[in-house]
This record gives sequence, C-alpha cells and structure tokens, in this order.
Amino acid sequence: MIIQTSIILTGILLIFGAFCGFARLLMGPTLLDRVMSLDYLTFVGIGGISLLSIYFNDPIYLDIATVFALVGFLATIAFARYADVKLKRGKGVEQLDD
Amino acid sequence: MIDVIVSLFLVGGGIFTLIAGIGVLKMPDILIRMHATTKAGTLGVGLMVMSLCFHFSQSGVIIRAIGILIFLVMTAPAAAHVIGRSAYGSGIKLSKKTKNLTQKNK
Repeated sequence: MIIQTSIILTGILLIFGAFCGFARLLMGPTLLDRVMSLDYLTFVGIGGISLLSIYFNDPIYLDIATVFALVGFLATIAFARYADVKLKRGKGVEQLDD
Repeated sequence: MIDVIVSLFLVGGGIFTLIAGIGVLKMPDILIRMHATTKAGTLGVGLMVMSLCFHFSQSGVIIRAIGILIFLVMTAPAAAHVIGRSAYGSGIKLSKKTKNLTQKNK
C-alpha cells in the first residue's frame, strides 16, 4: 500500500523534473545548454525505468536501464565533441546558437 | 519493513532528481547548471536504482543495479568535463558572478 503511494509520488516528481529539463531544452541559449539538458533527461529516463520495474514487479527492465545509460553517455560525449570540432573550425560562438 | 525502505529510497531519489531539474531550469550560467545536473542528478538516480536492490533482493538484480550505479558514477563526471571544457574554450557569455574565470581568455 505504501509502495503504491510512493510510486505515484515519485512519478509526479519525475514528471515535473522532466518538464524543467524540456523547458531548458527548448529555450537554452546555446547548443551546449541543450546537450546538458539531454544528459539530464537521460537521468530522468533511467529513474523512470527503474520505477517501472518496481511497478510491474519484473527485474528485466534493469537491462533496458543499463543500455539507456550507455547510449546516453555516448550521445553526450558525441554532441560535446561535435560542438568542440565546430568551434575549432573557426566558427564563432554565434554559430553555436542552433 | 522492506516496503518502507524502498519507499524512502524512491521518494528521496525523486526529490533529488526534481532539485536537479529546478537547477537546470533556474540557474544563470552553463557552468553552474552543470553542477546541478551532475551532482544532484547522479545522487537521485543512484538512490532510485538502489531501491531496486531492496525490493527484489536477488543476487542478479543486486549485481546489475550496482553495475549501473558504478557506471553512472564513473561516466557523469567525464561527460560534464567534456561539456565544461567545450563551453570554457568557446567563450560563451557567462554570468557576472563567474566573470573572473574568463579573464584569462580575453
């Protein structure tokens, strides 16, 4: 009984956190802000998958969380390196806006 | 008793993740925002993954959850370092309180 209540409460907290992350993703001034908010949204996704695993009482969802953590880390590294290379080719900060 | 521990870990992880989200939304600067999403986000997700260990209490689940936790703790600082180095080197406009960091650049 208490675990149902805490699952619902944690789901509401995660939804508000994801809302904040998506707001920063929409209005972030530069590309690096968007990359950082995508990194945060990966964290929210891993938390949501582990919440789903407790809700359905099935530990197979933990493998999905592992793969999601791997892919999120690689995506963050790739986007940050992309921004770095784009800067080194001589384009200024103004081109980094989109 | 196990349910109480699981609920405490879950709600604590949710609260820390929400704090990280508010920090991402409200902080004035990219270098400060990265602090929120790296530290509080890692702590929140780690608490939520550790609650799986108490809920299932099988050896396979515990090993996989600790694997996820070790992977997160190892890779979140690396990702934050790459983003921070790229932001610092590109001379993105920072807020006034972190201005003295970038005076070496100019």
